[in-house]
Amino acid sequence: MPSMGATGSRRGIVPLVEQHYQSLYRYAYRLSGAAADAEDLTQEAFCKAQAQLTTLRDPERSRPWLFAILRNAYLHRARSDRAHKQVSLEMVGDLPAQPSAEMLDVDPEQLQGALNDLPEGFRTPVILFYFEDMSYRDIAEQMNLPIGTVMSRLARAKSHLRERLVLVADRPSGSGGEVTRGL
Amino acid sequence: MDCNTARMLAAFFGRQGSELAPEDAAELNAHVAGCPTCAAALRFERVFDDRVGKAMLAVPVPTDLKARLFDGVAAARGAWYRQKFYTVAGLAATILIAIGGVIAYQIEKAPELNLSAIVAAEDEDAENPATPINRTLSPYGIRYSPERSFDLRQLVTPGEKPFPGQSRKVPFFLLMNVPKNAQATVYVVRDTDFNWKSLPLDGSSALSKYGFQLAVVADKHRADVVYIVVFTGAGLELFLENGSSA
Repeated sequence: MPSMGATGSRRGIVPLVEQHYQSLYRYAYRLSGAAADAEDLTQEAFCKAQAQLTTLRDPERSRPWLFAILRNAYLHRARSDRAHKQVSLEMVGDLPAQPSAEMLDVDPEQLQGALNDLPEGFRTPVILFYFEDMSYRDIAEQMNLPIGTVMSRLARAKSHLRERLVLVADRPSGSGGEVTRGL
Repeated sequence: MDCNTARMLAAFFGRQGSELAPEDAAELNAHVAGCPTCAAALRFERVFDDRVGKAMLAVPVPTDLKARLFDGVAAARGAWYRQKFYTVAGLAATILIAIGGVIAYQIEKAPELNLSAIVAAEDEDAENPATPINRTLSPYGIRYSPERSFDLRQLVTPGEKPFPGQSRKVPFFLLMNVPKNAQATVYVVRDTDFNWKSLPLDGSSALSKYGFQLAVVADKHRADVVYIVVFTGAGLELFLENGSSA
């Protein structure tokens, strides 16, 4: 419900939309993997933010606050849609494999495919890590997890991305000298 | 530091610069300086992070998204106000219905007035003028029976009011002798209400500055009750029935 106080007035939500809608949409897109879902999630997040505006005590923290609202909205949806296929990270190592010497740019669509395969608990930290440039501590706070858990999940998620996005030099490749996949 | 440890620390190298403890970062740097394989791994890690970071942000944002978001939050706000209005209106309606119900119940339970009963009561008062006085005296446990009969054709109204100069209420009735332009207020007083023992009984009067007089008339049956009469005019006889002189 909108508050009519100084921070809760219409002026309160407008600057937040103006300032954060793009990054929130991108975050939603990377979480959900679909433009329509991303827009719905962004809309839902701003509507919820408008209703809970009085709970935002520190305006400087509005960005992580909005991200947390959006993630909760996403999790709520994801719980009601458990058919999403995800890979197991049991066999994925924490440490990077032997790298290739050079890389081309990462294809955003292929990146999204790799993200979609990750369980949410691994996808969120890796998105926040790259997308928001968040520190481990910020991610831990955002996800309400111990920092060690975040570091471990992040390492495994990055290994998964590496495996999906990079063909290491010593792997057999169908085209001889090609060393990358999707790069 | 061995290569495995170095590779693990490299994996935990944050994008905001090192999130490693300074001593770990120093050890890693020292190892990388002397290990081309780990140096390549670290370079790869950084390039990989950089490329993935750029790709992560490469999400096209619809041009009209902002307008749709504003429409959405405005609609949500409107819905909230509508819901609040309906809640308040519903609450107000419930209160009004409850008040209406109470009023309707009170109307339903109010005693019904009967025209013939009203007329009959008035007839009874006319036939026996002491009846309305007795209705006033009844809560005090007194029955109207003065030793000297007042002329109740002069009766204007009975009631209760504080005794002059006092705060305690006592029953009284008012008599008006219109032809003689005189009036009398008769207070009916028990000795438990006021100590009247010092007042003169049986028609004695005390003339005031403006012609008010006071007389005390005893009750026929009760020694604890008197009729204290404050009156104007020639004398107490103006308010007594003819021949009522004890």
